[in-house]
Amino acid sequence: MGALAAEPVLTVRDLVVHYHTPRGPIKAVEHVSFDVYKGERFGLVGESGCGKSTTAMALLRLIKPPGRIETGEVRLEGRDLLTLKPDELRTLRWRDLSLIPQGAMNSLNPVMRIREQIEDVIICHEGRPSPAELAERVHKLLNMVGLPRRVTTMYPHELSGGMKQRVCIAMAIALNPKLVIADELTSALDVVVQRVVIQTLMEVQERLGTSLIVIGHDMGLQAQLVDRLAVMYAGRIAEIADAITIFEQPLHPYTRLLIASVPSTKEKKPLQAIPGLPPTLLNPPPGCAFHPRCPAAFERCAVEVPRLQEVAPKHQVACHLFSERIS
Amino acid sequence: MAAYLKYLAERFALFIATIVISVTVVFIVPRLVPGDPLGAVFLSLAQMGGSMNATELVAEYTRRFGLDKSLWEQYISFLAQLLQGNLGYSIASFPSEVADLLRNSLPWTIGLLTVTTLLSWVIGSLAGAVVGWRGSGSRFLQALVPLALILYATPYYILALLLIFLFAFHWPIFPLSGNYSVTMTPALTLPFIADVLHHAFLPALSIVLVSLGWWFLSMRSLIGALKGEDYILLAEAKGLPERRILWRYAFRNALLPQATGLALSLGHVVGGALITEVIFGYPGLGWLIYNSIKGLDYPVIQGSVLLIILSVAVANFIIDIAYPLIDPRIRQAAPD
Repeated sequence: MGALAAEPVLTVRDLVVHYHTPRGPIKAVEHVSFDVYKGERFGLVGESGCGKSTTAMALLRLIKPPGRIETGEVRLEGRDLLTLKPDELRTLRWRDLSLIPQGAMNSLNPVMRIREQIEDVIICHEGRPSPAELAERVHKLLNMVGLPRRVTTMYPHELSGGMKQRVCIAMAIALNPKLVIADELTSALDVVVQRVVIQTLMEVQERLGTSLIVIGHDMGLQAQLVDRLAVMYAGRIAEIADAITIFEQPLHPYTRLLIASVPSTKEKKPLQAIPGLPPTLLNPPPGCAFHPRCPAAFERCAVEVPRLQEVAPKHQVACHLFSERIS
Repeated sequence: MAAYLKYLAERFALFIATIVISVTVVFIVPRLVPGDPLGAVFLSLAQMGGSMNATELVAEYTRRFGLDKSLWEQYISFLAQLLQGNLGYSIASFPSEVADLLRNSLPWTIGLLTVTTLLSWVIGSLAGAVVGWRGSGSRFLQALVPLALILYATPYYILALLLIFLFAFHWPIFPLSGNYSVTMTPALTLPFIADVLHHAFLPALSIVLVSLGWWFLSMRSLIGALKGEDYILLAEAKGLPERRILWRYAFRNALLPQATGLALSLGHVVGGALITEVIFGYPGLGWLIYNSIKGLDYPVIQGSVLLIILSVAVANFIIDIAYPLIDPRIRQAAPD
């Protein structure tokens, strides 16, 4: 995995996103802060509904009503995305920050040829090059993700799920952005295709040196992909550290249980699950949202929300077990 | 390709079956109506004071139109004639041929209805798309919705009567009825064309206004539903200009069902707006059907209704074969 430059491409500070429903606000993302460095693969992992996809959409400012970004700061190379004017935002999108969407199955326009959909971003952001140049660029992009030339004139329904996902990857890197967000890259694919698609993305990312945010729920998968990992629970970040550190020395009880629940092919052991259910974000438990399920919870956990703190170099945890240790 | 040919063959068989069944229905139904065509003819003759040697004349007419034969024999000879392309003579306006009557009235109906159908489709779809896309953002656009609902719910003949009352009677800007002034001789001259348009304006307006509502509402809800699609969201993430997302991504996809609707209603063009033509005294096919039913003129009813059925069936057949061309998905997965 590539050497990490010290300067962050993306800094997210105190991001809060709520969905406003008649029954009250659903607190999907609560005070999330993290950095993504140049050329880095950053993983965002958690159960369904923990707010990881909402975080991704908020970075792109694609939260639709009733959702709303309440507060926070999202700086991409210093520019705060949340205060950009609509026009500035439009030109920045895809050129600097692109997305490999969660529902790749339905993310391509069914009535446009693949070629046209890729050309669209080039033409809209860079102006119309000569037809030969345009065709050449599209071919190059498709070639990069291992798709044959004939795909250019095809329609989305003529492609398999894996091929569509590759088209989305090709499209995401078309303008050579600084940061690509891959949201649940493989959740709709079978395991064999998953591997191929992931390898494709990793190769492309290494070649271009783009920063990458990988969002997913599969700890095992993330372990193989990313340099650094953030674990989310109930709209908050529980722990951030190098992928290796997270797996070898997980600190947050939730992370520990999550890793213990990854099935292993090496040793025979009963499948472990975390008892209980994730809380509703409409009315999360007071204090630490994980305390009702936490084996190590004590009085303070039910009262005070733990802050994300650096407990070791490049290792941040939001848990009272460790804030005790510091203070 | 083979699958597509098989599909075509099936559609064609269905098309033929539709025609055969409807021809039979068209033959039987008018004959189930109490009364007889000659009675109607001679009643009107008698009212005009011409009571001649009626019984002999009736017998002659009856023999001539084969009305003395059994229903079965009449049906067979009707089919035999039809296969030769012969629609027979009108009873009420003998010796006019049915084909000639149709030929005279058809252009007026097709002209009026094709133009109004296309016009209302285009205006309704475009306005519906814009309102569906950003309706909630503007009071003015939002106000178009109840307006369209009112138009859609208005019976077209009520609107027609209202327009006549206002713009032909109260403020006589437009003529009350007819397709061109009696003083005019039909010719391809500017004054004549202007006169025809002048006459067609109110009937056209009544049809456009009423059908506009439907196209508007259906396009609006189609676009509204498409707004949540993943590919629209991705198009936004791609940083495309909003106009491009609306027309190339949303509108283009909403066009598929909307085009089906258009093709279907174009099939009904020939049938015309019967009541509109009656109200405006517009001598199209609707007017012809109205009069032939009033006089139980079997051959004219048969001929004109047959024409309508044929054009609806043809339109449906064309949609069936053209739909795969509009939508690439259907092109591939030729239905079995």
